[in-house]
Amino acid sequence: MKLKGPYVTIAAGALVAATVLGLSITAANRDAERAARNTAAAAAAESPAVPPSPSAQPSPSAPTVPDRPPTTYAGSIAGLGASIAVAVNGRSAVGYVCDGKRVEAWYQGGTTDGTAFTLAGNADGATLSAKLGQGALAGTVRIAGRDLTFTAQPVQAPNGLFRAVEQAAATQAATVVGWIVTPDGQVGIQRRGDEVAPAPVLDPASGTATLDGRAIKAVPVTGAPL
Amino acid sequence: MTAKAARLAVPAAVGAAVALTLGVYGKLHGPTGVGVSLAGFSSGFAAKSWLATGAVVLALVQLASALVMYGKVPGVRAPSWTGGLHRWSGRIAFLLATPVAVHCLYAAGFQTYDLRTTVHSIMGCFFFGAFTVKMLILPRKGVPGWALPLAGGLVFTALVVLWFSSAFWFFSTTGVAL
Repeated sequence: MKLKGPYVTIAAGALVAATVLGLSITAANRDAERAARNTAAAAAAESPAVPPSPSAQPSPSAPTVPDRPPTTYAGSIAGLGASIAVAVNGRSAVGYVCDGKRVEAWYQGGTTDGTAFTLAGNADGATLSAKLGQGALAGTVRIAGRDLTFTAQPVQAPNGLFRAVEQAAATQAATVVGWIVTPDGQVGIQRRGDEVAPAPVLDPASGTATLDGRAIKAVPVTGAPL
Repeated sequence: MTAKAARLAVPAAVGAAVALTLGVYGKLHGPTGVGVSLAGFSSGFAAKSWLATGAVVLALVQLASALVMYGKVPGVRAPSWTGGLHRWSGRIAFLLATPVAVHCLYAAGFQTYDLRTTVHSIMGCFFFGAFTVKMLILPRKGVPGWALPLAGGLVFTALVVLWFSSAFWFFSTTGVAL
């Protein structure tokens, strides 16, 4: 008996579909596991930040971090014409560099002694290292292959570092918007995948902005892991 | 209903079931946003767009070879290999489109948040339903003569609409890149 072509075609299509579906499920599970691991790691890194009892002796391997309220430092990077903000919360810190036009990078990391901060960027090789002294944060940021120095001063609400993650549709990559708001004004960038554009204007009072005709909510970045 | 047209009932019912199943799955399954990515492409969306573009190009071959086979191109007599060309371009186009659809349904789901995604979601389900109908009509004897060109035309149209509402949109928003 001769096989009928069209049935074979449908069967082949079903086979391809099943294979791709199987691979996709594997990929999604892998992603979920990785996310769970990261969350667990972040939680583990966070737990020492629970204020130690006054009698506890600081162990040499884990120096205590001075108990400061969460603070956001903001400044500018002259060599890049960009702004920088670093939000510090206990041992954890989140940084953002943004020129309001094209260049931006998010950094995450923290400190073990409350003074020296090391953060890694979301872009390849991007790093941020800084020291806290006399109320200001000064350091070096590596972005787009260049090492640039900066100094950042504490800013008070409603100024600060803000972030919005908006997934307009599941078919699209999420748009991540970052804003650095200082008394001098605000700069921000929205990124979806490799697409980068100036951010919509953030209304600091309500913490909202309008992205592609939709209202989005910006969340203050406190320094806790994103 | 004539006896001939009645021969279309089963393929049409199966095709409708396929389209409905895909749509219901796409709506019920929570979009993961993650699918398997293909080596050599910058993103899943780029890979999908190129696969879909390949399918559309082959669909144009389908349209041309079908017109020739049905004698609709004046002055062109179908060479003996036209049938083979039509069958194989169709098979490859279908096999290119299938992973795209799986990715859509698994990672994105059936979406209706704007006109483009609504049209795309409906057409995507319709396409595989219509394709199933066409495949089931092909080996079936005694179906009306208009059934096959109609099914083929619907499949072609659906694919072109799908392409414009996804790959064309993707390339025109992010630029043409691998």
